[in-house]
Amino acid sequence: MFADLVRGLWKENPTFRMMIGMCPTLAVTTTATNGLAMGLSVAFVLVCSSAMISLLRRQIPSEVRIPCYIVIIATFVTVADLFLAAFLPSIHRVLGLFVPLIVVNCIILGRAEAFASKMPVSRSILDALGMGLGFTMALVILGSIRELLGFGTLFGTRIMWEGFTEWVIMILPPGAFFTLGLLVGLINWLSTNLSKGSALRLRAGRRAKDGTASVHIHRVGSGQ
Amino acid sequence: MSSGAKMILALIIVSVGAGVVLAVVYNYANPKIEEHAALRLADSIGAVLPEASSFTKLESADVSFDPSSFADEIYLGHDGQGESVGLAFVVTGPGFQGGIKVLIGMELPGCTIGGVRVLEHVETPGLGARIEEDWFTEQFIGKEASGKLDKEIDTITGATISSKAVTNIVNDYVYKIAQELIPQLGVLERGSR
Repeated sequence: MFADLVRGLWKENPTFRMMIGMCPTLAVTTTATNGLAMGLSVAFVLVCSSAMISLLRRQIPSEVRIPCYIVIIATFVTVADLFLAAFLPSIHRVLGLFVPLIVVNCIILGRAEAFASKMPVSRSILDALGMGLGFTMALVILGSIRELLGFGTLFGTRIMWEGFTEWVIMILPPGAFFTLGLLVGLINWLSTNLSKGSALRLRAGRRAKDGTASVHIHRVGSGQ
Repeated sequence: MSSGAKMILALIIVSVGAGVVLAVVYNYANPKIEEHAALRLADSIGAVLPEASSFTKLESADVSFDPSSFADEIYLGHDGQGESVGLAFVVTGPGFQGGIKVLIGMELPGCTIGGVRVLEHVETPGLGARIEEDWFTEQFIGKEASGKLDKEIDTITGATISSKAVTNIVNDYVYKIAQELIPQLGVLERGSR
């Protein structure tokens, strides 16, 4: 049970390991606050739609499952969009078009197809929660780095010293690609070295496997 | 039941369920969304037309011309006694990457600019997006509808195109409205009294 929750945070982190849902990841992470709002919106939609799809998994004929999933996902996205507009209008204005686009974020359809359509409700909710939090975490890390270097602030609070020159490129699209690339590289390097270390300890005497073999990147879909 | 009927039934049930959920949430959230929009508009008009304490939207039924040929939306500002003190209008013009939506306040009878506020834009964050900053838009306050504003407004360093775009939008619409709309409006107000 616990494994379902933590899988999305590190081992199968949707952004850093599975490389899915890249469009909002790159587009809205200009500040940490935007990343947090986008991540939580996706997590909300993911948990609700995974629970619903898991609940209806025996009732929906497999021939029409994709249209059913899309209708369910679109419903929760619209609900999230309306709630954001009603309660957090300033964040809603910044996220703009990217909230409706959660519908086509392949993390959500990917988890529906790969997990929620086969598993009981409780495990589906835990999986969705883990994936949603993993996505949120990734977006907040990206947003924090870009905001800190690009605006000199963090969650809107001035952090950098007086006279700090803002790296405008960090706010622009190239900054998103640079930051994401470096982070993915760092995380791959870390997990390769960590698993190499543990593999060496576990199989003492045996020849350690090539570390890169332990890095699984599951490609559920490409791009958005 | 045949598999075809099952498929149709499943889709119908899911769609109807989604429709019901959306109707309920929409009914709950929409008044709040409209409230925010109205508050934001009132706040913006108050900022560009400080003398006005209330405002009414200029509808095409109230006047002999089509207000939408001048601007997206036009509001008449009134002071405490109900006298017209100015106009506030929302206009859209081309920016660096997309349209820039600007709210302009024009004080009557002198046709001077009461204030300018950028409502919507898709300019580059950190560069062109600085057209929202107060020091830039405050430059317009008190300027006349001369049609030559581009020579009077400083551009933002690193955002020349975006700041020139805002200046041109304000310049063109203020000039056009002062020249073409205000005379018609004056005739109407004298006629109705």
